[in-house]
Amino acid sequence: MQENEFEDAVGKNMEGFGVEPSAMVWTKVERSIRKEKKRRFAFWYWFLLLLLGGGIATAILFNPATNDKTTIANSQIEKNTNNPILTHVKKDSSNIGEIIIDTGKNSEEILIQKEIVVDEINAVPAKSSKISNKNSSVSELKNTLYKKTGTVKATTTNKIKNQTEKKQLAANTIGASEQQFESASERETIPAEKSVSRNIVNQIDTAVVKVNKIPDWENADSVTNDLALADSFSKPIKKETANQKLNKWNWGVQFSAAKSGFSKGLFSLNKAVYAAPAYSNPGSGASGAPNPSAIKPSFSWSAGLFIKKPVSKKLDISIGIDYHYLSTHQRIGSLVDSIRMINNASSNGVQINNFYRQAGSGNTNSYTNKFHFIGLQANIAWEIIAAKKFKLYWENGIAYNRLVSSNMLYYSNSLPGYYKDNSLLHKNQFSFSMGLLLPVGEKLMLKTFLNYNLTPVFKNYSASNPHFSTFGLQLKYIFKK
Amino acid sequence: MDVRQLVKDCLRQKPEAQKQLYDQYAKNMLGVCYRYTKSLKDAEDVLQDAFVKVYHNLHQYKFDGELGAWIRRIMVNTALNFLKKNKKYQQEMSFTDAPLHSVSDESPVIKLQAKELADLIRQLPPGYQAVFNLFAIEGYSHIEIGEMLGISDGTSRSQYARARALLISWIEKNNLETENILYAGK
Repeated sequence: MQENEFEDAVGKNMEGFGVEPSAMVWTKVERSIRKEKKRRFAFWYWFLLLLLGGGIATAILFNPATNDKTTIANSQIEKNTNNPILTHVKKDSSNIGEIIIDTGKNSEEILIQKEIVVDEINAVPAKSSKISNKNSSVSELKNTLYKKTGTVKATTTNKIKNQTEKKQLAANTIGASEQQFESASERETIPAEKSVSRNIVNQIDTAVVKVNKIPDWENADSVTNDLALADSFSKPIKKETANQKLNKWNWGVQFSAAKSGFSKGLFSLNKAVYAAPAYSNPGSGASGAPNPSAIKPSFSWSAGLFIKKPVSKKLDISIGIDYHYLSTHQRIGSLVDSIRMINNASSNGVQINNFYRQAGSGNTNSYTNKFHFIGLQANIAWEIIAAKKFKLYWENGIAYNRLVSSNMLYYSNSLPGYYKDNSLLHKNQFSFSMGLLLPVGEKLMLKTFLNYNLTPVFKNYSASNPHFSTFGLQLKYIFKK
Repeated sequence: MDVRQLVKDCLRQKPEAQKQLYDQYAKNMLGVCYRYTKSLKDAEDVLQDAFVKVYHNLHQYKFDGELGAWIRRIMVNTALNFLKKNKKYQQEMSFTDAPLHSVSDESPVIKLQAKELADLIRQLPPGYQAVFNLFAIEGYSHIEIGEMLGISDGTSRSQYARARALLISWIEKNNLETENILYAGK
């Protein structure tokens, strides 16, 4: 038979040859393609769920009403427990009725009014617009207390002998205080003010108790001391503010622009230029084929959200979620639209539908390998310079990054050329970063950083496996409450 | 529905279009898979994998050739992949020399039915079978076959020569009477 006659005959004979598949084949095919669609949906589902969870957590953490109430309520309990005066009031609560009678005023009514004031204050929701009133109201109360202290002291110094006058003076003082409380209640102060007012009410009560219990006014100094103690409420408030600051989570956004590339180690960041990864010996390819293209660093950026909290005077911690785009670039030839089988570390036979030839004279294009990551990060910042006008933080962090997609090209000597196969990339990447953080104003921070991925880029890569590294600038903006 | 519309609908994940594409090509494509494997079950497995790849990669089809030819290439590559992965075939894909048979000038091939010829091809050792299918039926060059199978083009040529000789000798010897004996895979 002639050389081509047999082939022609076979070819003609096989033309239109077909076998009817069983119904099960389509069922399995359909199941596979639907499952894939579901998998893609599942990824976005989890991503959105993560964002939603983060949002809810942020909302709970940053809810000012919840935070303030809890913090102040807790500190109030502590103070009440430790305050000897209030303890004294509790112990001698039976004297209150006596005091009310002794004042000669309609003290029962006053007491009821005080209760109403406290109730009203509790019932009034916090209004941020009233914040400005808070300070003035507190200072007014403070001034009043100073005046009262002064008044009582003067009274004591002049040795007022008439007890009725003394009582009247105390009653007047109480009256003035009640007016202040009414004024405070009218202003619908915020919760912090409520507790202050409550404390002052208790202090005044204590003072009244002592005034009434004093048989003569030779011991009037103790009243003065109590009133002075009432004045000292400003000090716990300051402490409370400092604690609040430490407990406060602030949230912010960050954006970075950097240069990314492959590196062999921490101390060769982006300096090294790697050959395109090849899962077979490049030298054993087609004769005369040039070596694979070098992989060079390229642009990267990231954007994300974070929450930040000071844990001490010098240390801040932050956690966040962000998106990272990394890239490298290389030189390639023209695209060949042809199906081929490639053997590599992930499989003995990977089907590729197209590939790129090697770059040659007159046939060279730039190709960008793109990597899209979504990551979770945790950072700790240490204040290393704390001058009045200049502060500098040293920030270190770790992160988990998930590779979402990539168009990375690999070299194959059997093509010879470049093809895509994402199964060769490590999808889960752990990294650490370090950098210097410079606050610019109250809310803005500028950071120079260096990020190094501890997980190598490729799976089962026999040659020196590179790691992702980036260095660049980052801007952080904090939305302070 | 024309091919362009069919592809677009498949890309939009329309189930009826996906089924129509399958119905249109499945029979012929199983014929392709059948020639590369030793049993109908294996052929159907290859067909299933290949169709999943077809749907997955359909966005890469640029309408620059017949859709059938594009799908056929996927079938062939999936079949080769199957042969490489499957231990049963891998052991016999050794491309060792087989005795050559004399070649007669008269060809009885044209007298064979397609199914009978396909069954004879399936009787070849897997290495021979793949090379024979790729060269004689798919029309690939020996250089391309070498790249696809990871062998040199010289090996592909010699394998084909042996496969061809073996096949012709079987056809001659049995003179069309071997069809029932040689049928395998059921």
